[in-house]
Amino acid sequence: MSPAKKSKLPHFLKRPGAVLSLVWLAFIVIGSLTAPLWVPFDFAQQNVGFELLTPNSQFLLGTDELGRDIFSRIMVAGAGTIVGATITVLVAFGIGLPAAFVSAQYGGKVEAFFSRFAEVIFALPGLVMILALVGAIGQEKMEPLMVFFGFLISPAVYRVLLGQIISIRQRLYVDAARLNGLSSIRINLRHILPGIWRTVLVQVALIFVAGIGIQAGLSFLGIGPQEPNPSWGAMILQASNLIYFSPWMMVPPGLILVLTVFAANELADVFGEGEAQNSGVKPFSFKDLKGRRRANLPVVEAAPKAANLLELKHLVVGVEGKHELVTDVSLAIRQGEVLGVVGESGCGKTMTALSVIGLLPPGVKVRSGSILLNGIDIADWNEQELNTVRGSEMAYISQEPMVALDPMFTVSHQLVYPLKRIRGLSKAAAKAEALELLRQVGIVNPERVLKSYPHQLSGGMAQRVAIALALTGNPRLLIADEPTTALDVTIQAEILDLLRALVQQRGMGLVIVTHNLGVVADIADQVAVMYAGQVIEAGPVADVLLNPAHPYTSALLGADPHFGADGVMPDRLASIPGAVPPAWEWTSSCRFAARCNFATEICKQPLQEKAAHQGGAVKCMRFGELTLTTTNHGKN
Amino acid sequence: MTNTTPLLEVTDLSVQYGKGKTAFTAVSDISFVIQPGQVLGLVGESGSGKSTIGKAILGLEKVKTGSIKFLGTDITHDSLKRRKKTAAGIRVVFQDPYSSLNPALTVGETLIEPLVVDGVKREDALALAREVLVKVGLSPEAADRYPRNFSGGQRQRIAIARALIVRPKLIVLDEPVSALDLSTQAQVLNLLADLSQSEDVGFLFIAHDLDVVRFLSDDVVVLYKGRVMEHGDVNRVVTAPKHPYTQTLTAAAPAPNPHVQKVRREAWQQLQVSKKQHVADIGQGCPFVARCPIAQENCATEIPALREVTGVKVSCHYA
Repeated sequence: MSPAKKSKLPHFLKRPGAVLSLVWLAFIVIGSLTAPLWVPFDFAQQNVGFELLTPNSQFLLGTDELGRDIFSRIMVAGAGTIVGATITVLVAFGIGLPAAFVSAQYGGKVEAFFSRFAEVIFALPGLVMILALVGAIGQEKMEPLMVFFGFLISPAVYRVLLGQIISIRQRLYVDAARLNGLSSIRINLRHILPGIWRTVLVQVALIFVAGIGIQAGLSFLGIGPQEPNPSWGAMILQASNLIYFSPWMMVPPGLILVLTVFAANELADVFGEGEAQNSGVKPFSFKDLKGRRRANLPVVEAAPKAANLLELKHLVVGVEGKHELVTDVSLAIRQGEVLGVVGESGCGKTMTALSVIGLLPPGVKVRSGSILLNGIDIADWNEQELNTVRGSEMAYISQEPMVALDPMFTVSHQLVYPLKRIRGLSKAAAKAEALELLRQVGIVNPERVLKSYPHQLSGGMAQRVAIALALTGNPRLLIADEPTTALDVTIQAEILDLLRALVQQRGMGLVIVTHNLGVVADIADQVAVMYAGQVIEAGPVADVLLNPAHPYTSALLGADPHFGADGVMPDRLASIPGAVPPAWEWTSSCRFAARCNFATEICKQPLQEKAAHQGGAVKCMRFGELTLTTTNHGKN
Repeated sequence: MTNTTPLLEVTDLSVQYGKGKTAFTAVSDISFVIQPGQVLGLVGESGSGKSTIGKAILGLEKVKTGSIKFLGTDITHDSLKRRKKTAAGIRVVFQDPYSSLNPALTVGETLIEPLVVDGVKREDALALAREVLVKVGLSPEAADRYPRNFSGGQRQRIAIARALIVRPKLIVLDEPVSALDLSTQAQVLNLLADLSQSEDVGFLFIAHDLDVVRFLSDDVVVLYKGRVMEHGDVNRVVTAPKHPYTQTLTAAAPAPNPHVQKVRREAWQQLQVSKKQHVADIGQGCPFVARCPIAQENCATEIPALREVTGVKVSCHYA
């Protein structure tokens, strides 16, 4: 259960490939290094009369053209190959790792120097340089060549690690360690190295493979150990010369080489994969879309004039095969009305909003209940069907306006395209309409903004453009998910003014999802307070915020330092003990009871909804018998 | 008032980013004093320079001009190494409780790090760590677990414990509750308020929210574009702001009480209407001139000096 106890090993061992690879590499490394002690034949021993044999009980992998035991030769040759590859790894990391640490630490000119130097080494033609070195030192010695190869490959290590180290250095805990007066070596070893060890392991495995590969290649060219000393590459060369006489001879060295490379790559893969997230969320699949029941394509004009622009009835949203994320949520909003959906993180308010617009993450589905848009249930519509109402009937803006805006295109491009698509305007008319929309969202210089790219806009400006984008289809319902959370408070007030004006001028309905009670008080007519996937209290804003009927609502108000604003600030805020329970621990009884100061035995019974406020509701077993103020609920 | 040495004395502090033509002055001419055990709030929107000031005090940012004195010692240009001696009593709690704890170390290891560096024995340091964890409302066993086992609010308690363990005199709180949910935020704010009473420690509380600052602070400095707009007793500044910027800020913050919010919104809209006749900013005068509802011609050309108006310092020609 506790992730702390779940060490890396079990996860690692769950992958049979990884276990096999580990066993194989251990066999090759240990086996070949100790080979002279245990192999059945001396690698140079020629057995006259036993040439070119296929495997048999005496010669496990057969013999070569001089009757030498192939198995013994492979194992002995392995030692040289392993040592050579290890040398490459050590040299590459010996140069690349410290260089990356130094570059990241000093930055500026030091980093520029190392990086230019790395680029120069990268630009060198590796194989040509190695062959030139062979010319200088002779072709028998493999080790100097592998040192040189390690040097040539070190920029790759440097580059990969530099990026990682720089990103870790920006973490606040590194700053905290610096402020603790730790030496830079200690910071690098204790705080940065643990963060990059996975990458280091991946690189070690990959370079090890490269080292084996290059040695095989070189000895195939006749460089390295000379007859009678064996090497994998030379054995492959021999075999290829005799391929018509004894095709088998190619198999053992080739197979050993391939398996060793495979094993090292598999390990690199496992290291790289790291702690795969067990989020239980399935990747996106087109099948899911196709599998849904098809409703008739709506004819919007003919839709019955429903009293409610949007109505959710007993909506249940959940992760497929797992827990619920939204439980039995019912909401309604009329034209020209603003509904605030408020709650802390993990309460299901964003999931509720996303289910309306049909943008639930992969693996999350509407389980039951209905979503009535103008009286038509759109809960089980597919993408194609939803596209007929998205933009034109309802639109969505998110907390991060930059998500809605494509960084590759100008604002003009992004506004004009939907105007042409949804409203069927000509290009010139669409451009004129885009300018008008930007003016409507309060942009002072719309011509200039139209030509800008998203990154050239400030946060407040970008949110205005995102709102303009949402308005391109003249939607009757706007769903805004934390539209002001990322903004400064003065910009937030401006955006709220804008939304309020749009609702009044266009008669739109607005659903605003927020964690900020002040935003609700400012703009909303109705409010729904969510806790642990449920709407626990709903009603007119003034009723709910001034006379909360649910202990959670009153607790939230008491926890808000803005509540006493303009009056006297309390010495202590009324905090709620504990935290929102995770979705997989939700029960059918009151989910707030464990944190509630008023909870009694009755709160363990199945939760019931009761009518409260004007047309509102509350989910509290003790409703009617409690007197709530903003200070009397905490379990302090 | 008293003759004790101030805990922190910042005088005419300026910090510049970059050099030459691309140089950008992040903060200019900032002065304030924190007395021992006092809480000073530093409030401003993004780009106001509030975090830059915090970093300069911690020695993470180079100071261009001005001075920073900690308990009477000038630490303005001390390296982090030298600060081990001169500013060991200054600690920090960062905004992001997720990236501020090393995921590879147990909470105990993180906490005892500064002590072990100073040569304290591991067991003694760990015992102290457990004590401090209790002080911030966690169980002593928390020391043996990893940061990933804790929620955002609990992590922020751990970050506070890490600051407290060396018995600091001053803790720089850089937006310590902005990333937290309302109910958790209240828990952490209460904890900080308790600690400021029970421990002999002063806070520099950096935040963007005036009401949050008001809850914890004695005095407040309101910043805009790297300059001090208003500086004084926090209750006075929040309930009767003198500077048009502070007025804008208080009117903009929405209150959950619908009655209070109605008044605030009207005040906000009043400020917006009168803003229409604004004076253009030519970069030589008051930084707030372009957004100011009461700006006059001279506001664009003369930087207003910080002057005392009914017990509060205000930098405005017309406050």
